[in-house]
Amino acid sequence: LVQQLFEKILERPPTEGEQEKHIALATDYLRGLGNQEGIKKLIQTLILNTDFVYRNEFGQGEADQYGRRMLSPRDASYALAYALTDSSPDAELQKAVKEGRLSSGEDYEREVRRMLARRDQFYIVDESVHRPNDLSSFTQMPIRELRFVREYFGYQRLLPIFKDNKRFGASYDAAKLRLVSETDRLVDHILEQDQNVFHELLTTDKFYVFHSGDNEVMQASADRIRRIYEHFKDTGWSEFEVDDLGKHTDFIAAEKMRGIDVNRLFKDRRYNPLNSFKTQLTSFTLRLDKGQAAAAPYNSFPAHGMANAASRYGGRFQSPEVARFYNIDMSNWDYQPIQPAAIESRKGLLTSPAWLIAHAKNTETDPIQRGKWIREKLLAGSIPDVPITVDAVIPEDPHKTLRERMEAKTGDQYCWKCHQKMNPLGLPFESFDDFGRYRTEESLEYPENLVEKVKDKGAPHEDLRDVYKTRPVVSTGYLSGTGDKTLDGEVDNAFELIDRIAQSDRARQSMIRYAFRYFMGRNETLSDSKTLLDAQRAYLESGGSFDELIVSLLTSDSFIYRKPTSDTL
Amino acid sequence: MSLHRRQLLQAAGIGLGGVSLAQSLAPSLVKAASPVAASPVATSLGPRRFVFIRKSNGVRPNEVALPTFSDAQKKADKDRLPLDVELANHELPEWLQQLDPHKQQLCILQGLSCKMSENGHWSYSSVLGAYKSGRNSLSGIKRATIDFELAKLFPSPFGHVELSLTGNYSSFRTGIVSGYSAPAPHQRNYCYADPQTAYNELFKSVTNPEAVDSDNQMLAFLQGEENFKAKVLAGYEKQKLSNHVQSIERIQARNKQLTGLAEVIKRHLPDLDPVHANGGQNASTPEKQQAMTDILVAALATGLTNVVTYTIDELSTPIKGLPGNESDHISIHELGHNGGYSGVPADEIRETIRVGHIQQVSTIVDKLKSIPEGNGTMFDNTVVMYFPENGEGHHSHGTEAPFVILAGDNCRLDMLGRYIRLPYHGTEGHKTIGNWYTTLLNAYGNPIEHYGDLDLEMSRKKLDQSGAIKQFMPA
Repeated sequence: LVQQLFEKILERPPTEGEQEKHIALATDYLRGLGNQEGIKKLIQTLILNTDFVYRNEFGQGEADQYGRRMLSPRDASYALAYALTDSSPDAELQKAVKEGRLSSGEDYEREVRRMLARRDQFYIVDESVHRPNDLSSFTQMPIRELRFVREYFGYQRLLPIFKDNKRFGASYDAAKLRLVSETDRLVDHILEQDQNVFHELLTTDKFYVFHSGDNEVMQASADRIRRIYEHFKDTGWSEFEVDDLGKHTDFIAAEKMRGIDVNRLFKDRRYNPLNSFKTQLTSFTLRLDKGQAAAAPYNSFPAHGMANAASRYGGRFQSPEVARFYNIDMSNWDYQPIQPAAIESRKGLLTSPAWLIAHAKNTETDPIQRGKWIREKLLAGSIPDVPITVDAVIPEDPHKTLRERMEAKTGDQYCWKCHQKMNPLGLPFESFDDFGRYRTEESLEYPENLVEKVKDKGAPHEDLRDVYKTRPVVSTGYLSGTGDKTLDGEVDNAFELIDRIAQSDRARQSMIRYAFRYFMGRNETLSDSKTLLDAQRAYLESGGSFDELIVSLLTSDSFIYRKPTSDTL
Repeated sequence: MSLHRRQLLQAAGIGLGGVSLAQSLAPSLVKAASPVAASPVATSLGPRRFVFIRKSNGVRPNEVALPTFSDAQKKADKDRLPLDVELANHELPEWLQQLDPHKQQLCILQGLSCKMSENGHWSYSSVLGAYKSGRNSLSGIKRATIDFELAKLFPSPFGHVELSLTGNYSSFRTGIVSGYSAPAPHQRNYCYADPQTAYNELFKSVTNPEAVDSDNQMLAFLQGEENFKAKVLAGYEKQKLSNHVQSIERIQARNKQLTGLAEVIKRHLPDLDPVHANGGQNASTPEKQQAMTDILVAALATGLTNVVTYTIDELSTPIKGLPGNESDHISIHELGHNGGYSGVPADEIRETIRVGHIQQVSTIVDKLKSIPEGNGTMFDNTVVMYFPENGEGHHSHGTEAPFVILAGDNCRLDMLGRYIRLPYHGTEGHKTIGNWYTTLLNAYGNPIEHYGDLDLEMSRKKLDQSGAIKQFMPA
């Protein structure tokens, strides 16, 4: 029994000592509690064993000349499985352990490459984004690749930052979930391409906006709307009565127009779908009558059943408001059915609305956090915590931009010591507001600056933001700390800043160092320098393949060997 | 059939449910991990108790309006203008009339908003934490909920007890299940889902000392094993194991405390009807509520806890055996969409459900009033709050969240015996649940500047919105 439960719960047989101790314990349990309760207690005991939660990796066999021991094949199978996936070792890894084929760097490489190529597993990327009927949040790549990029950039941290619908000009909550899932989709896409990955992440101008990732489905959905629009365009549909619909029943049925059940038309005299008909035609007209490339396939009105496009789960495809983050005017939206597609005024994940919101506050931008992120994550710098004596609040002033208010606060010598490392890197991003919308003017959102109060409810394409007085955005900044004199210096805006950082060796090294920490589960030490150099070489020689970087890391001595630290000897 | 590790976890967690120590330890492990540091104010106050009763489907503001309002008061209330009315001069709405004997200890508090919590159909932990929880996601849990914050001020062997009567529309959840409070950021609390489980777990030291003995044996065994393992580790790795060991030690300490409390527990041990055995799927909803009330009071009376959070219903709680609809199987969600049953309109059934709730609230107050403490009764030191988990309706936006509050003579808040309507959402002087929870914390010894997230409309309008509600604070 003890052996069986060990294998089920801890996925390994007990050692001799464990066997003996647990048999004694089980005997006591069974005697005191009876059979069923006693066995339950034994199960509880094993689940509360820390081996249930943690893995021990002490290595096995004789120590080599450096005092290192290689991971046991079983430990290695777990280490590899959890480095790339959320699951225990798959069947092939288990088989490799059994057959003694997990005891050399080559063995590791074979398994890592095999696992990296797998696309037959589905992983939910984010439980708080995923909506079984509507919004897909899954990947078929080994989840840890995507998760590293996610955790490194931290764009999903926008989720707990909640925002005012009025300032967004539409419903923010649903749009933010789509925003995160589409950013995940973009990262998934870049990782799947697997070329110049870090550079692409930093500089791509192509994004997913209101797109499921399935080009065929999105193209078909956009085409369908165009067919409906073209079919009715010159029919005088706005004057239609129910009887007029009768002339188009075959078309309506073939296109499955929403809210119109042709089977009920004329059979039930009270059935009148004119409102649904005209609402969608009005909306479709708006989407195509200005010569737009294609119609965004969103729903003109809420209704159960079939939507104008389907999510990757086959459910309703919703939340077109996501377009607003990218400054898309929904009343004149040049929809791109094939994505990712180029978007104006964007360059890489640091200009993705998701990253920008995640590094902003509820009601305003946060140039300090944006700058701090760049300093620490891309330039391998460090910033001390805010001294407890500092009242880190930016004073309010209805006549000044945030930049002006901030400069007044952080400009003195004491503050500037640290802020000079952050502000000049974060301030170029003032070209994006706290919803990640590109801007050249900053709204001074104080009641006394209100220019126009806009209605609170409207159609999906209407912008419901109040209008305030504005001041021009100043987006200049200063790049320092790349270690490259040709790159350091003044920048005009975020795009120039990003371009220069993306060229810098330090930024690439910094990202590789973070990848090391993520996949090894620990900080690097001096003895890991060879691993880091090898990883960099693998990445560069492969034309920027993230897969090759991972192979290099997971077959390195840093991963394969374990050595006791001095204080445990 | 091969059993996967994850399935096994589920089997242990759900299948064994009420009796699985792994599950029953889970909340305690979490609780035990947070250090207890009562404030000097709280210590000087002696024992204070808080009961949070969450109800679903909203409380519509007009439901708590007083029927005997003057025309001017009626208009002000309807226009959501501030009001402060003595309850003594008025009748209570019909469904609240069971609270008539306690009128002087009652406050109907209107005008609080909860837009920073989830709203809609469900709010999960967000209504007690004043944050957006991203539905029920773990990553969305931003901070310890208010009940846990208060529990820290008034420590007890269990620290905090959570009860719930919830289900999947057709059957009740049973055993120990995920709850609606949070002991810390990114940590979910677990709660007792049926009266028998709550009874078995809370009063185990008296009702089943053999089980406690084997728990202790297991804990001692684990303590030895884990301590041994921790010896070969260092730094962060060692800390992980030490936390585990510490939790085990704390549970052992608690078990010891509980054994010491055996006499008191015996005195207050409730009688539980056999209908509740094995999860009590055949018990009617009112029977379940009554049994939970008995357990709730006993948990407070025995001193096992000073804070109870009780989800009296949730949209998916099956309603069976409701007076007037005895043979119906009612869905609260359906009521929210105006669906009636057996010819009884939805609004009437909603009222009957609320009457049932208030009967429990009134019983809790009566029972606490009958237990002597100091120069008075246990109720003197208790605050009971009955409130909607999701604001003002079935699909709510959180602009209003009416609270029905009952508190004894030693209550530190100046609000009793009154119907108070605070300024409406988005206007000068408006207060949110964040302000209300800050008031509770400040009054009972936690000087926090502001608890909870800020309201964005108040922020946009640059209106002051942080801190306690001053008019309620002790002088």
